[in-house]
Amino acid sequence: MKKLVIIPCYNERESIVNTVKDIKEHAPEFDYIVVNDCSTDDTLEICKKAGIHTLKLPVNLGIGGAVQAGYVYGVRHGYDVAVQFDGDGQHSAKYLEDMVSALEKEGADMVIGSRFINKEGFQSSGLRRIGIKHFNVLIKILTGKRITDPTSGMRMINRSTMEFFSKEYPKDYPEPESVVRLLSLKKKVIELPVQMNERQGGVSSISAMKSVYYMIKVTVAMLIARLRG
Amino acid sequence: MLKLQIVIAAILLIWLIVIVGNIKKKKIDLRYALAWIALIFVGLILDAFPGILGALADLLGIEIPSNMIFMAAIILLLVMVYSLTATVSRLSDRVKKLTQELAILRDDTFEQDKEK
Ligand SMILES: Nc1nc2c(ncn2[C@@H]2O[C@H](COP(=O)(O)OP(=O)(O)O)[C@@H](O)[C@H]2O)c(=O)[nH]1
Ligand SMILES: [Mg+2]
Repeated sequence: MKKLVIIPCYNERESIVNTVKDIKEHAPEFDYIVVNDCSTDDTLEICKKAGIHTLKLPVNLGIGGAVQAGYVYGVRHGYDVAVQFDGDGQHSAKYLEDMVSALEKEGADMVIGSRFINKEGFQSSGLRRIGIKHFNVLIKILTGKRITDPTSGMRMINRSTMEFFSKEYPKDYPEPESVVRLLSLKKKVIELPVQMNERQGGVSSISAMKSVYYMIKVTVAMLIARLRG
Repeated sequence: MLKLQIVIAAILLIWLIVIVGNIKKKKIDLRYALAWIALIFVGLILDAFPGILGALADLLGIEIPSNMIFMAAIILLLVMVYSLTATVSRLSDRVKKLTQELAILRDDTFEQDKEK
């Protein structure tokens, strides 16, 4: 079985090398690809020097377009499983094999690594958690399903979801919206408890200023995703 | 009245010349310029026969003909700007696709070179 880790990467000079090292050590069965989205710092040079396999997007697409590039790559190169994985050191590769087992055993279309099942490890900032709570409720209303960590960037999908996402995937803030989309299509989305860390350097792409826009945009996107059915 | 009509006609004609010039120089796409050209011709007709405006306003129950022009202009502008939004969305989808293809193509050729 061919398995691919997709690492979206924007200005992660301090953490990208360790992220890849973590995968090589704790998930050696996986291939990986870093999708460098025109980082404005020297992330690309650092990747080159370290011999890290990198897709180089010639213009900045944002997280959605970058991850989707990874899915297109995965489909073309015959991967059976793809997992999105933060380049900032927040995720741990040691969970990846468990996620594959869960995906296969449960016949799921997506497995989300959730911080909020066992409530262990880094629990995200207070304000962020309020936003996540709002998404929990909205998903429950829209789909009847309970997803504890809809914004988690640690998400594994099977081949058929990969093919679907390679054709259509939200451009920005894709996580909660695409979960609603999958659930509306009666796909099976399950969660697995994981512990996450705090960012290892760099800054989050979702600043305080952007978070209001983020909440509104994602809420509307989720409603529309449900309407599309 | 006649003076104003001539001024308006002159403005419209200059605008038309600019648009045609830009199309010739490939600065703008005829596909998107067509709406503007149509608009100029409508403007010229209304300018030449102001009676049409009065009659139309009467028909719609609008008391002052100029209000009808404002209303028509605002609706038209909204439609045009909206269609631009649709066009930009389509373009950004295409750019996204091309960008992804290019990145993957570059990677595939690079990896092949490495194997040789
Ligand atoms: N390709 C790409 N990756 C991005 C972009 N913005 C953020 N990322 C990456 O997506 C991952 C998650 O982003 P992050 O800012 O940590 O979001 P958070 O974990 O929700 O705070 C990190 O690996 C970032 O490098 C972007 O515009 N393009
Ligand atoms: Mg992060």
